[in-house]
Amino acid sequence: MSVNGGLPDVSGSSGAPANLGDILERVLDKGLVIAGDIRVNLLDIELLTVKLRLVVASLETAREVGIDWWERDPWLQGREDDHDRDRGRELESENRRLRRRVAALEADGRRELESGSADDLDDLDEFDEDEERDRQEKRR
Amino acid sequence: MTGARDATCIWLYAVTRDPPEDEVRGVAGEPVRAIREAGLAAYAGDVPTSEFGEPAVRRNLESLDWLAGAARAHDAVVRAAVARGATIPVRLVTLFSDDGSVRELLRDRASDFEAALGRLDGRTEWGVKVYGAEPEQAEEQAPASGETASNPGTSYLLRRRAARIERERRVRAATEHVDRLHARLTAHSVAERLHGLGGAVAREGEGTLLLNGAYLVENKRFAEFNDAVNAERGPGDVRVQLTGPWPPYSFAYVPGLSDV
Repeated sequence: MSVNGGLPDVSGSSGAPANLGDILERVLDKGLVIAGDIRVNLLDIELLTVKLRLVVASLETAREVGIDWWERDPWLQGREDDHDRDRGRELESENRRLRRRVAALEADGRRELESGSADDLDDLDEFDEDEERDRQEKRR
Repeated sequence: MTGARDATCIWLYAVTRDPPEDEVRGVAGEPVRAIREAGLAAYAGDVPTSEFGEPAVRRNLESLDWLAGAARAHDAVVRAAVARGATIPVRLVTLFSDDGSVRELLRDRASDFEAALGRLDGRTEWGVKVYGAEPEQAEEQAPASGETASNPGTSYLLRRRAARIERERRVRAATEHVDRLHARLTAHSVAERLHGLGGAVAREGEGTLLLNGAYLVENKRFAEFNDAVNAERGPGDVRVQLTGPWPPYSFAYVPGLSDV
């Protein structure tokens, strides 16, 4: 592409070819908004990115074009469906098991640390939360 | 509305000063023409109402394949305009019923469009994205703690602590790197816009998006900007990607019109 005023030659630079995700981001969300005399409700257009997630028939197609963000969106993932409730129960029971294990380790740890450095005890207290969060992240 | 089979409406692509030089095809495969008024040229196409008018277009927008085709075609026309000179890209699906309405717009807003084009003369939009490692990856890469303990429980906890500290260190290092990079790029550009991080940009295997910026750069100063992109190697798991050249989508601002 050449531009009046001399666009730099980028063939040797790292400018990546435009992929569809990048193009959509710009033509749908950027670009000058002009209200034409045929009104297409702009709100509809802005909602398009949301709608897109719902109408994509094939996840594979979407991944090919580089769109997979709905997979990370808790709202669209419908956290309340049966599958997730099951998963939630699974997590709860796993969490209970882990807490018992932690309690046992803490007992061990305290004995161990009585002769060692005391500030490690703080970490033991933080462990519960940390572990739980990590587990949940991994599951996603 | 008329129900005529060949009814058309006008799809607007861009506002610029010069009409298309070569034949350019638009979203419907139609030849793109210029609607000229007040020293301005609007790139426009006559597209069938049955596919691109209301309400058909709204339905079609929900088909990813249709949208992909329209987006690419729209972008291609805008790029053709950019190749001729300063161009204000118009958002996808801007429709008019006749040439007169477009002319009226150009006439009423001539000075605003001209001012906006003046800001874009000799400048190009570049995109810069920075990706960091996924949290799990960073954790796996955490170095083994130097501390050892004879009890497996305690040593496990120490490892966990080391992993957490390492993770926090990586996040901090990546954030600082991104802040420095953005400041440097801003210094080498005439305008910048930060796009959303949670938008339609995260891609499989690319890690966590840390920066998604658009920078309007003087063409004459692109080499310096490019150097600034590559100036500093960030933490090992941070990846910087330059995209472009882009038509100035992120800087298509016309006072008065854009305030709506």
